[in-house]
Amino acid sequence: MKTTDKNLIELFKNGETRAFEEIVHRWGHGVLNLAHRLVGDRDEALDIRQNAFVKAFSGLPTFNGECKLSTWLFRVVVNLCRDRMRSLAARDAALHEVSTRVTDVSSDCPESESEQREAARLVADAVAALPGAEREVVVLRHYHGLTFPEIAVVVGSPTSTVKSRMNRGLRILRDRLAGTDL
Amino acid sequence: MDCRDVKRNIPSLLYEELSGELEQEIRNHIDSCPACSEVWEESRKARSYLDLWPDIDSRPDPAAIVKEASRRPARREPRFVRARRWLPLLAAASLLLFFLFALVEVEVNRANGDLVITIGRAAAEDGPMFPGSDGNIPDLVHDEVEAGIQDLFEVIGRQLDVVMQRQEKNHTLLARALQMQREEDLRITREMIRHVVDRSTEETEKTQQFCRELAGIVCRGIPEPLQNGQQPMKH
Repeated sequence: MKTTDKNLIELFKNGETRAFEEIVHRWGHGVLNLAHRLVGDRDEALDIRQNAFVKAFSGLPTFNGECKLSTWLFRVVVNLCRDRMRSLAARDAALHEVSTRVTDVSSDCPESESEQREAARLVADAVAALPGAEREVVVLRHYHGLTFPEIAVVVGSPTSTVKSRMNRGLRILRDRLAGTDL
Repeated sequence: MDCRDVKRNIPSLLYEELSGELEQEIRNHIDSCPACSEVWEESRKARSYLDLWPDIDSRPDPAAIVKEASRRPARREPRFVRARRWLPLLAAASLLLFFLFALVEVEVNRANGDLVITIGRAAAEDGPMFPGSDGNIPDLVHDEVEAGIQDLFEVIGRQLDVVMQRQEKNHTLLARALQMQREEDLRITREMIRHVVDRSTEETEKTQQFCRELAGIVCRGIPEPLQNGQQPMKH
């Protein structure tokens, strides 16, 4: 039977470091991809994942279980991504980075068709072009399966605001991608 | 339910977060409303675009993360704790300044209630080389010059020993003052520092007086003695 996140947290609080390693193993992929889709750079995302788990290591002992571990962890990642994005000087520079990054990502999958790589690049560009608040909601909902109330906890906004951002984000994506061959 | 309510709930419908009854009500509205139906289709289309961006993969190294997390401090220390680390350096800098005061020529004046301190050569250049003299060279006593200079060095050596001993006491006092400052006893600290400054002023005045006396002895050995009515030699 698989140990639940709650049990892992309890074990970690009791000094079981291996429980934390299991948390890293379990959530490492999700944390990396959340960071990657928010900042648009693989190396930055790897760095953010590292920092997120380091913060989690020191913060988990005070975690009171008011929300799911994933929600708490994603909030840490979103805050780190916001800090990182603030440090990026120009929006255009970030967009340029995304196009090269997606090529890097696709090179991890040799079986990918060139059309798929191009489609991924277009979508990545479109997501990167979203305003930050809309991008957070779209990414957390679509790629990480958080419900809108959970997203509200992560981003620190009311659920109704989160839904409005989702609507606006989808509309922007559709407008941007409607003219493409996708 | 109107179109506004439906559009507000489209994200929840899109990701199946609605209760069965509410979902059915919204679907019925969409089926009968062309405007809402169009928004719904566009939202579904936008969602389908997102599926085209695949995940990246890179396995984390949990052991390395735990190792790094254990090495880093959990929380940043408060500002006053970080500032406390500079106290030894501050104390050392204060002592160094004090040593500089002790080793260079210092002139202290209390004029109009203001404390004016002049350090080093500037003190000598601002006034006559030997304060108290009128700038004229006094009488010469040739025979006494060599013996006088010999005595002079001995007296200087003794005086310097005395000065150094007193300055060492001053350093001790200052160290105690710094210790008391750390204990935030500002009143006592001010008194101690004032005492040190006064002693230092007194020492400086004594040294200056001593130098004046020595200058008197040395200067007597330089020019020819002047007879009554005799004009100084022109070189």
